[in-house]
Amino acid sequence: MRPDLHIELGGGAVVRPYTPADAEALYALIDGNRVRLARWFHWVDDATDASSQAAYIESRVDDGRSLDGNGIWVGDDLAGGCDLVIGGSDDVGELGFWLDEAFVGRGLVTRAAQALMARGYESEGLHRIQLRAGVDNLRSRAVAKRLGMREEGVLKGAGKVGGGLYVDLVIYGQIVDDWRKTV
Amino acid sequence: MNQIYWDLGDGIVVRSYTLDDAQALYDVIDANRDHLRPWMIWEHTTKSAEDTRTFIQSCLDEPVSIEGNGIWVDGELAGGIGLDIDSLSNSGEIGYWLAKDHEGRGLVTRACERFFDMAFDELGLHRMELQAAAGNMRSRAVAQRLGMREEGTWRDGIRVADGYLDSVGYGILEDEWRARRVRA
Repeated sequence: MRPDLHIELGGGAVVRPYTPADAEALYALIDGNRVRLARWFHWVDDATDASSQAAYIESRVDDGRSLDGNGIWVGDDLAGGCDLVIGGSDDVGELGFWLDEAFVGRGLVTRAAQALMARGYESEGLHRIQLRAGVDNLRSRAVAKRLGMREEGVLKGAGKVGGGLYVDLVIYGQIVDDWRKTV
Repeated sequence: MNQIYWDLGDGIVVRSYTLDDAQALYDVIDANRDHLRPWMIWEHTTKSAEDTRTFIQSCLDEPVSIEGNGIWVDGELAGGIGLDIDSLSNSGEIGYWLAKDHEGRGLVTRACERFFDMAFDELGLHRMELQAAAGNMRSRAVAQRLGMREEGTWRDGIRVADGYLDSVGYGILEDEWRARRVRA
């Protein structure tokens, strides 16, 4: 998590890290989208109340690396989340995102992801960014294509989702040389 | 800290490193530099037994994964093998290397089989993964012998001393491993 992150996406939309004051809004949004999100994300099962989200936000400590623990806001309303996780290898980032149903179709996730990718490549020295999406998660896969990422394979049973189930994931990848050609 | 100690028979022992192994680990890496450099980024950053000691200590401090283990043959360190565990997705990734003199005897395959049994039977993982450089045919042959499915090629998926190499990803699920063990 990077407390200084604040990216304007245009149209009053902003990407910034959650703060403890956002726990209630985060829980309410996850709870309102529970059935949609549980198809793709195991963490939905851990969202049991606002305090579970306060604990999640608390656990996002400033490590000077990972661009994770971010919400997408439209005005004062939380619309979803978008992370670029930089973990084990310091030159690989992994994108992840979700959106409230009411905000789908406005290009918010694509713009948020583009902004985080630009920061990842330009400021954080990433060489490769990847994204794993459920094989049947066509909206996420469409985002990957819009981001110019290349489909690299299918990881059988690699995605743990709600209810203790597993789904197949498509992996998309992009290296910095190819990103430079797109911007 | 999860430590292992397995006697696989025929003089083969797979066990976690202790700090006392730092010199032996350095010596086998140092004797295999040309052999390891094309594939293993840690070859050129391993400059003394102090570096291997630091690596072993970091493995001993690791709470979940079982990263730092050696493969011994008749008391001689022949290579290394590690299991990286991702608790969130309930999956594991295996990685390994072998000294040149010990290649071609199935040591890595046997060690991986024991790790997969542990991963699925004892740790309750759902899936095991392996990444091999696309040009590392010996490593890819291990994945094939283990019955793993080739799942795709990741662009510049492996960082090495001279840059990046495409990597081939392999996977196998718990039920697939069990079906294979019953047949075997």
